[in-house]
Amino acid sequence: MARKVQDYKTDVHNNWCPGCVLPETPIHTNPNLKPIEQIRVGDHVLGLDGHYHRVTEVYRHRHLGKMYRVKAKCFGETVLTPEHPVLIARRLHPKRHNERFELIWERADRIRKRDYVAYPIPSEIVDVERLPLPKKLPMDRRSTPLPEEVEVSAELLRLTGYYLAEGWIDTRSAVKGGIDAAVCFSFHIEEREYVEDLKEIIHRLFGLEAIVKEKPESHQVSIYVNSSRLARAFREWFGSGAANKRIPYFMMLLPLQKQWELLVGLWRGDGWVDSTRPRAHYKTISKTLCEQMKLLLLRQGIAPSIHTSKSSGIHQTSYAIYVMGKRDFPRLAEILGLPRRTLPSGKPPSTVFVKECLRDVTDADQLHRFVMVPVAQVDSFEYDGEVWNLEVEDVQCYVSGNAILHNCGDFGILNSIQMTLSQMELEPHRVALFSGIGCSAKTAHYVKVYGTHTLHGRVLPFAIGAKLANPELTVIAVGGDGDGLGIGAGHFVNAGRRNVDLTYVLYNNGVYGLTKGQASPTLKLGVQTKSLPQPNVNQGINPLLLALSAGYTFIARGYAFDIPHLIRLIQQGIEHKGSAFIDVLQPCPTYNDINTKDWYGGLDRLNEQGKPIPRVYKLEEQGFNPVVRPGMSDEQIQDKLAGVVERALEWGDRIPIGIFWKNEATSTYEERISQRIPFYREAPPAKRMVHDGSHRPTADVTAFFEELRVT
Amino acid sequence: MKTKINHLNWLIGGAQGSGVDSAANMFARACASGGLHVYGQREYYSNIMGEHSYYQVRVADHPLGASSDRVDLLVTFDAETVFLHALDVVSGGGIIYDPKLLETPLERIPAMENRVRADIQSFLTEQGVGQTMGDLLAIVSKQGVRPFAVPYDDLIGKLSKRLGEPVSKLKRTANTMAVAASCALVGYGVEWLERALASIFKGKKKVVDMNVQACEMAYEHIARSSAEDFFCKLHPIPTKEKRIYLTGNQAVALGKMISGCSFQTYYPISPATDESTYLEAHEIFSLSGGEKTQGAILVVQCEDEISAINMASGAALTGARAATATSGPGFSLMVEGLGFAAMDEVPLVVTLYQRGSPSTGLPTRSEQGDLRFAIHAGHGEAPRIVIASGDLEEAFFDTIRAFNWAEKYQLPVIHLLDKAIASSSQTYPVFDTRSLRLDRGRLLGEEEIASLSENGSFKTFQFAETGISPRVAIGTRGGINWRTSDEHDEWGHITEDPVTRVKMMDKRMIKLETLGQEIPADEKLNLFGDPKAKTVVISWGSTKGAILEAMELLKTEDISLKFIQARLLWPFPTEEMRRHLSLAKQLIAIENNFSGQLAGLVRQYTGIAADHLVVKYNGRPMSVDEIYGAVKQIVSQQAPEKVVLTHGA
Repeated sequence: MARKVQDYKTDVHNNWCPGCVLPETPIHTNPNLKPIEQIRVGDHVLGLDGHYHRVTEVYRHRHLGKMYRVKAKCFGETVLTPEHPVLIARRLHPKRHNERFELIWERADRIRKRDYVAYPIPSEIVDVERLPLPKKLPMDRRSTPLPEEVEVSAELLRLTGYYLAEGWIDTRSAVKGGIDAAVCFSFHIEEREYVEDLKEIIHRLFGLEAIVKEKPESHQVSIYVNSSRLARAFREWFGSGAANKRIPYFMMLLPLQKQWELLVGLWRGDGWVDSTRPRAHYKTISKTLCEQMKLLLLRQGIAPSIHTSKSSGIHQTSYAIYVMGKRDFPRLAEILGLPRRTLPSGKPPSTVFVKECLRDVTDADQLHRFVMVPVAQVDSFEYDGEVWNLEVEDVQCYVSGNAILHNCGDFGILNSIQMTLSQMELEPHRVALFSGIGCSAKTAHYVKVYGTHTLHGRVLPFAIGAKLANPELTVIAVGGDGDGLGIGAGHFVNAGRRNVDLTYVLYNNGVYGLTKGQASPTLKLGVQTKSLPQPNVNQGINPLLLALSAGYTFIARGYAFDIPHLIRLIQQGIEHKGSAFIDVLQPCPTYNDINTKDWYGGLDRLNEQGKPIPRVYKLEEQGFNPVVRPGMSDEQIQDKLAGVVERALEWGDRIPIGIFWKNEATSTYEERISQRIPFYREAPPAKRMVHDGSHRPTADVTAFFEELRVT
Repeated sequence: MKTKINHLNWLIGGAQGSGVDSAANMFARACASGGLHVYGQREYYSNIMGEHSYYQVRVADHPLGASSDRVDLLVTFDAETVFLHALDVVSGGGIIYDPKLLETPLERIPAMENRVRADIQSFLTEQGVGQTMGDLLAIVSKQGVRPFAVPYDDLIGKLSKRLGEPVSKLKRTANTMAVAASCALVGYGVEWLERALASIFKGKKKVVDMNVQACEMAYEHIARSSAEDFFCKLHPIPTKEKRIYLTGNQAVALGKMISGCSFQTYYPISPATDESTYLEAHEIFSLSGGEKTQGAILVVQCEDEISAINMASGAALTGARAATATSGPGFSLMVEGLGFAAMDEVPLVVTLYQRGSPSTGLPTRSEQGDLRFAIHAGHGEAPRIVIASGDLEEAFFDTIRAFNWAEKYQLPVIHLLDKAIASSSQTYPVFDTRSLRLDRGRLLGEEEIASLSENGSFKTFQFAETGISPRVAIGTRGGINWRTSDEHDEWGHITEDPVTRVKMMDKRMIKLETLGQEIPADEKLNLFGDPKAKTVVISWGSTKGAILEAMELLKTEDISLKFIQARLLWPFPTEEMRRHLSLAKQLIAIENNFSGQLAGLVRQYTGIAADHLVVKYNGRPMSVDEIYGAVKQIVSQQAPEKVVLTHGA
């Protein structure tokens, strides 16, 4: 019976990091805000660095258990599984207000009310000078001539603002299927100033004359710009229908001054400013536009507050973006060019731009891109249904309406284990997965085979005990580098000399992730990852050479971001008769900022074409032959050994992955046992019939009593 | 002098590695095969060769279970043994010595403890004699001890001529000669000794012949030394009973085999290792009642005790009956794994041979210092069963109980023994295993799982009133389950939910109540002596034999006692203990430790405090004489609250 990867996934779990947020959770992508379930591999999502990054995987799972609702004071809420990490800012001195913050990844269920969620401020600035207009359609013979392109000027941005606030596309319904005929705007009859501005902009940018129709009975002025091409352009750039309005992606990156004009246009069109209090708001029924305006305002140093009014009757759900208080309102007033008025100063802001409060933090460069939003409430509820997660390149995180959510590199390895099992079509009940303690060790709960999440450092003794008691089982051990080579080093070495037939996958990221990033045994001397107060004072263990001297008969190294390769390694490890050790290089996005995915991928060293030169390379592509066969001469074996040592010592510029050593000449522990106990495999310890049908012992030790007989 | 018949305390000593053990074994087997009851206790240094070791063998016409302070016949090859033990020989008793050593001065004895040397030195000085072995022999001779010279070298020389073998090949026959000389002195037939030699050197005819010749030579020598009037005599007692002579380590090992234990792990440690090596040497055995004709126990030597306990847990999870054996220092390392077994409800048997502690302590000496440790080992509150055996027969049957309870209640069972039991040897009728029944508890097979399985997986920690959920071995179709050392839900997945936590904690701990109700009272406590006696002795473990023998002696002096031997130590049998103590006027706790750990537990759980503690913590087991003396002193109101026993070399 063919088996699917799904057969190896657990459907009941409480703490599945990958099974993360509820469907419909809005995620900031480029160019849209999308519900998470609509995100596809290849989409770009906003990351904690304020840039957009490629989605490499989309995951969906069933979650049965608690979900945590994290509400931020002004950015709405996100609902997550308990273990899912969120970027949180915590005051170093809780009692002193707004002094210094520490940024940490915190599990959703441990977020407290006094915490702040860190929210990224998109920082990328890409100016665009000119914007091409869509080409004339082939059958279009009569549309007004338009320039080929338009200058991306303050005026275009203001026009965009007017359009997003007040514009629509008029479709000539006489034509079958409808055809975009005109871009239309409507203003209040009093807003003549804006109408004039609009007319002038249209004329200057496109050479078109706007037709203005006043409708005194409804106090409105309508402006029509008859141009099918322009209408098409506006639909393409800004979406159509009030609920789908959006700002085109390139505009989100423009310099602040231009974006300023966009805000002016928006506010003139649909904004409201309180005349008695420092308060302004903008309302829209486009969730995307609301979130985009939030980002634009953040770029201007304004922290808005988002309020959602649920749909009722004929009213659709609408979103209000409030700007108020003594810090934020004056900034907006300045942008909008409002006359100075004497108003009550308003409340101090509850949000904190870290620029203001992190002066003491040396790494201000990294930190100044966040706004800290107080957590208003965290509650939980029972849930049984789908949850979603993403895998994001480079930053391993993505941004929802109110928070930065983490994804986890461990998951790649988890997936490769599940995929290997399914490719090998192993019956789940014949597979036993053991794990130690650490981030990686949760794996045991996520695979639908017999899973035992043991003790820190002790995974191998458990795994060996199970395998020797029941050699029919496929036994896989997983654990981190601290687990296996620190506290478990003695077991690691001694497992090698036994050569029990099992596969040990070591997640090697150089740090102790679960305890917040202390140096692990594989971290190189002198390296200072970000949570180390001092550079690493110990040398790093070379796991491959340690495994070689311990006697492992299969030694390989994989790379967590090359899943197909890793799957091949794990499969060969399982198929190998004897102890297989697979060291998996796994960038820890949270705590190891040195050996990152970018570093392994060589992003810091570009070739002449500007392409990165990866550090990781595959041994098999170099014709490396790791196999030692029975009957090989000592000399041949020594040559092989020398080759392994040479490759295992490579690090830095070139890092080999693949199989280093595959010794088929050394007997397994099970074979050695079978020589002593010939029926060991047919009747292993786990299969011993302890008693007969009447519960009488089956063991007959009469002969041993005879040995001891004295009378 | 009155002749003692079939009642002999024999002691042989010498440098470790010089054949003391084999000589003692030879003598014990010779006596046992003649139908006599034998008890042996071995004392040795934590050292490979050279330091003093000795072996006491007691022979009687009835079963014995303890050592004695008094020696009827001391057998020596070296001067050190004479210096160390001559003063323990009773008046009328004998010392077999090598006459060439008479001039050996005390200061020439290598590797003797300084304190001992100083004590002997001042004793000899007080007596106003010189410092040689001969001087000491002269003193004890005055007290009625009879020295018997056995010139080993001369005898071996003669044997060499008789057999035509070089002297170097015959050196070891000195042991046989010493034993033979002993047998000759007590008038025991040489044929029994020859029978013992045949069984010890099975299949090596030449060696047997050589030793038989050595025996005869020693008999002839003693015959010439006019010693026929030696005050102790041994006569064979013909018996049809099938008896075995075994050690504590072997008793436990045999118990494991018959329990169906198929997986044992260990890391070498005194005094536990011998159990594992015995198992490994006997790893294949016959099976009855099944299709298979042979079964096996897989013994794995681990890199440390941490590995040993966890490897055993790994095996237990696959359905094997698994165990590990260790001593105090190893158990300290196992504590982490013990917590796992309790948390994840793994049926696991830990055989814990206590030794002198703390830390490395006295590796080859005895103590009952780990009772509290076994009960409380581990962080947090985790269920376990702790039992203690009082003698070799109990050790055998308790091992079987341990496995049954481990599986039935799905928790670790710590079986407490000590060095005194491990290295004592005793004759017993072959253990009757016919009435044994094994109970695997709620271990389910494939067919039984089907109804409980949900989508191929299984709630391995299902809540139950008794705390005991159905169990599935890893590898069973349809029973996929998860386990974690974190707190977990019924599925074995991690949870920190406060409600589930409470339920799961209750589930684990309620098992102790369940088993407390199910285990019969006579498996919790043993009662001996006069049930109405006002003086009650409480104790546990290896002191049993010495207490029982002392009680016999006291009875002849009209001192009657009731003795409660605690066997189930955790969960503590509070009700049973309280009931049996209700009539006590005077409570005496006897323990081979410093603080009286059982007495502490009794006080903690019943509110009844012991009036007297009799303790011993010099690393040597309690002797009959010491207990006899202490109880007598207490009964006659002349004892302090805490009586500290100190005998032993």
